[in-house]
Amino acid sequence: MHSLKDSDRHIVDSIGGLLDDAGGLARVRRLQSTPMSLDRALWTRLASLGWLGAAVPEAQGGVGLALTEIALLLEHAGKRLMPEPLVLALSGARLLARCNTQAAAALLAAVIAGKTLCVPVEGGVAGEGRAALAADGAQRVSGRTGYVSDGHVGDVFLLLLDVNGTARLCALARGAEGLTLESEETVDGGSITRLRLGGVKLADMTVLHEGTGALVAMAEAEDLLRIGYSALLTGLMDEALEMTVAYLKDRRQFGVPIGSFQALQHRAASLYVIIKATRALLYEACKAGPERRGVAALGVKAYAAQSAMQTVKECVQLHGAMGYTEEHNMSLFFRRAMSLAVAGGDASSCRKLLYGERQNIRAI
Amino acid sequence: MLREETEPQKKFRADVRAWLDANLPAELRHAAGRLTPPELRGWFKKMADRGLAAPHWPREWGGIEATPVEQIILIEELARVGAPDLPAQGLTHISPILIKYGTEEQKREHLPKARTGEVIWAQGYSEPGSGSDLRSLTTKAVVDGDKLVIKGHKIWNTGAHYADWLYLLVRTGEDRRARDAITLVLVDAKTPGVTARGIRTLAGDDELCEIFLDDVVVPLKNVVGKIGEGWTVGTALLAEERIRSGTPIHALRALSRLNLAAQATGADRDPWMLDRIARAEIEVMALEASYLEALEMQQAGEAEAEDSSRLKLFGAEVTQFVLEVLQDVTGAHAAVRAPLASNEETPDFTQSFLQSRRLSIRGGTNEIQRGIIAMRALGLPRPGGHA
Repeated sequence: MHSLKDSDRHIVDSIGGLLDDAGGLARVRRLQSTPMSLDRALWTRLASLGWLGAAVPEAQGGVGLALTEIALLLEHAGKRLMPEPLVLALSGARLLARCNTQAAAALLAAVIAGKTLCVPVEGGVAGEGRAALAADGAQRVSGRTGYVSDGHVGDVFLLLLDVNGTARLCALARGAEGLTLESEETVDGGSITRLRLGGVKLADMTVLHEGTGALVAMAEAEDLLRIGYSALLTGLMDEALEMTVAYLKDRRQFGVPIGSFQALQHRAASLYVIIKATRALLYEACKAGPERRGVAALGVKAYAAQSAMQTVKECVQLHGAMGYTEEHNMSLFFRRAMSLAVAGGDASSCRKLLYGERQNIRAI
Repeated sequence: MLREETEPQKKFRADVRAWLDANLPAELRHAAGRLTPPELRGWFKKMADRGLAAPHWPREWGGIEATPVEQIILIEELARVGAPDLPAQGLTHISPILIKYGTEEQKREHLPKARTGEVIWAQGYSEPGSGSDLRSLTTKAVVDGDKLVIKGHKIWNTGAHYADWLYLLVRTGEDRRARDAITLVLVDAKTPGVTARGIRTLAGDDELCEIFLDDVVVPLKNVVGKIGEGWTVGTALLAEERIRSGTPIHALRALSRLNLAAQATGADRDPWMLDRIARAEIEVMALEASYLEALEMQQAGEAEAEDSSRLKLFGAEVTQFVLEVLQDVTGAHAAVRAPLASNEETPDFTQSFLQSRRLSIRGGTNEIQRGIIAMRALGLPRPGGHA
């Protein structure tokens, strides 16, 4: 990791300070055991610090961070297991910023202010129900979307539809007639959520963007989801290893610190190697050009999910019986990792999509 | 490379690609075995004349001062056409040390010939009784006027029987653990008393060697740094060697073979195999990103002490993983003795797999690297009983 610039230092201190002041891991513990809750006070603080507009250009009322800076922000949020759906919000805001309608601009302002949470839906768990929703002859839409991690928080859903063969990006409000949210609670107190549309009227949805631009914008929003969740996972595994190394130095058996045993040292060293590799891949993926961005985002998400699960499994093991208790904070890391591993697409789904994308690139 | 290339970088890639397509002989592409220095001599010279044999070297010594991104581009293009590795010892091991620690005379004498492959180098560090515990080495060198007289036995010296020159770590002090008891010295392989013998490997070649040193007389001016500075100079050398050992070229070349094999066997239509292949691709992406980051940090003077250990071991593991997937993809052919000649049409399945076992052993085993990481990067206590 290169040494931090001043602007990077500001990002790290701001998000770190916010989450530590809000109660640190004790708050995370509370939220993990309160199903599908949202800490509104913290959300308002995120908005007032400007972070909900991190992925939106300054000209549109955002902070206009580069992708590498967004990754840094999220990496440090991940270190503290931030339960808030910031990645969803950033991705939704970015999607709105790419739209060219007044309706989108109005929605974007509400998102940045923390008043409305917009959830992009086509970026559901990859491989599940990805068939585009289409309007029927009666100008109604029926069907079920893919899974969106923490989709239960959405006030407004951003949906990609097929309307007479043309892509259309629409906003669908939570209370719309014919819309049902199917949420299942995840192990960390969040959710995976699908939308069931039972003849939702096209007229009840607000048009945000149409044509190829809508498809490109949605693809970009999905890339941001994957990069974002990878950044959270990177921070999470970094912190999990740090806690574990501290334990290995502290815990004594047979009269010596257990961290002096090679069997344990080598396992910790292996984790160090893959965590560094994940971070290097993350920041490299942030620098990908438009042609390679899809592959980069899929690759890093698959790698981060796999590496993070390996890390938390090893960290629990290296803590012995303590690591298996609910009381130990490693339990929070383990369950959060399970949830983030599938957010934006689990590892094998991402690999499947990556192979498809790569074939396309080769064909070009 | 995932990163978006600038226009000059795109041009660099296009130029390198065109040059490789025009100049790399077909019989050297995706070669089955490890080619010997005599077989590689012509190609080595061509690469050197183009500035590509040691692209990261300073211009003063014939390099092109390639940036980290350019080095990655070159690596990718070499892997794409299955170009063979050049003997690395002279280029990435001893020469960077001479650039840093050598006398003007040593630089003038050795760097130009190392760069063009006119002189082939081999390393003499390990001994039968001193492998991972290198500092216990016993090959003795006694100062006699303006000469050193060397007596001892070195082993695991890649390509020493083809080498024109050797660089050796020798003991010049009595205290076994003292830091100033070891010296790095350059030895002409034709000096009387030097005998190099090949050792057959698991892969069936004889690139490993042992070197017998029987009262070998070497001028004192061949010492690199001062007498007793060998451990410092040699450690710097190991760091350089290990970062470059993390080069993604082996993994990329293996991936290029994997893709050829997947097309040939139809594995690229099998969902389970595709998952494995995609995983291999992603591992290689992570390795490339790690290597590029390390090169950029080294250039910025921000390299971390454990980078070299980390890259060395990660590069070996990723390459071995890709080759394991290649084994999966090839079915029954995974056991076939490699063809004598292989090329893009008949990719080798087993030779590269056999040879890849050396990657996690040479230059300090992966276990030694993990120990270094545990202590230097993670600050874990030294294991009991070892000073």
